[in-house]
Amino acid sequence: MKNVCFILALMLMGTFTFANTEVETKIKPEKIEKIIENSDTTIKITKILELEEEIYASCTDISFNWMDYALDIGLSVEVAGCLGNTAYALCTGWSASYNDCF
Amino acid sequence: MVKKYFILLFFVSQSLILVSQTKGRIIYRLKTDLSDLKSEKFRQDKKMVDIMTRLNKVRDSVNINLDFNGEKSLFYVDKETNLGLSNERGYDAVMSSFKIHYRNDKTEKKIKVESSDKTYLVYSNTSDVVWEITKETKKIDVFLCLKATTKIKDKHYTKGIIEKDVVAWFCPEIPISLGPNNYGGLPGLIMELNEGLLTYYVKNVNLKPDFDIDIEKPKGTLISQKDYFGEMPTITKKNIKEYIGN
Repeated sequence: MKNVCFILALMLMGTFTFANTEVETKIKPEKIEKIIENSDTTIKITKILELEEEIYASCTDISFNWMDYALDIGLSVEVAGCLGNTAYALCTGWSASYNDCF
Repeated sequence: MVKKYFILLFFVSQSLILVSQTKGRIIYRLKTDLSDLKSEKFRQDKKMVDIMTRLNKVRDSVNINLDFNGEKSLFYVDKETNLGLSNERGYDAVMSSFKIHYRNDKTEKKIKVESSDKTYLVYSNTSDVVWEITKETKKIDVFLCLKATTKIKDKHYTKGIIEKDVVAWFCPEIPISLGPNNYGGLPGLIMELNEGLLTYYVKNVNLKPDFDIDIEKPKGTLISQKDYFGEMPTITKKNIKEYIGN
């Protein structure tokens, strides 16, 4: 999903750059309108990506918090790692179950 | 001259008898500090809080034996206790989380058994732990205990090499220089030991066991603690992608 968004963002950025080149050669009001439209989309996509990064970062924090807690109470690295991965998966919206760790 | 040697031999044999009588079993239990689970960073994930609370309940209900005979001792979980909880989810994970600790005060070596792809005997010196005995006292059951503190180096899976504070309450009235997790070397039995979120406490002391106590050195590949720490990876937020892939 992350990669798809990234590729989409690159494609849109490419469109914008191309459109921008066109503006320099043929300055037509409808083109400018299109650029603005595209520009807004690019900003939106960038914001989505930023937001997604924030979510991933906060989910990584949650995952590490649980992994550290499991290690602190003496659980093995394997179980702690599994619980951390599951916490990350659930946080990012994937379906997963803690029960699979036991 | 012969008389002198006889007296000397008498005292040596007497002290050997005394050494051979120093055998027994101390039963410890764990008490886990659950206050962290109520903190902001954890309480949102109720499912995980429930799981951890349940796991801690299992951990805190099993006996951990400290068997000793002469200079050798073995600290290990008694898998026979609380089999009633064996159907609890995570029971096996909890039981396998307990490490076996072997200590030999004659060779001044201690071993922690770590099992992964193979069994490692991670050895270090008993003298690595340097205690500071304080004047603070506490009564545990009928025994007056003294507080001792130390700092140890440990390898944490996500934090790398860390320094941990350890607090021990030892009882000079019980002249056994041992304790949980291979801690020892204090002038008395460690009745309570605090290491991070975990507190070990004595549940039973048996100095006259009516069963054999044979302590054998565990089998596995010997590795020094320093080398073992070097072999263990540290997973951080920055390098985690290298381990789990993108």
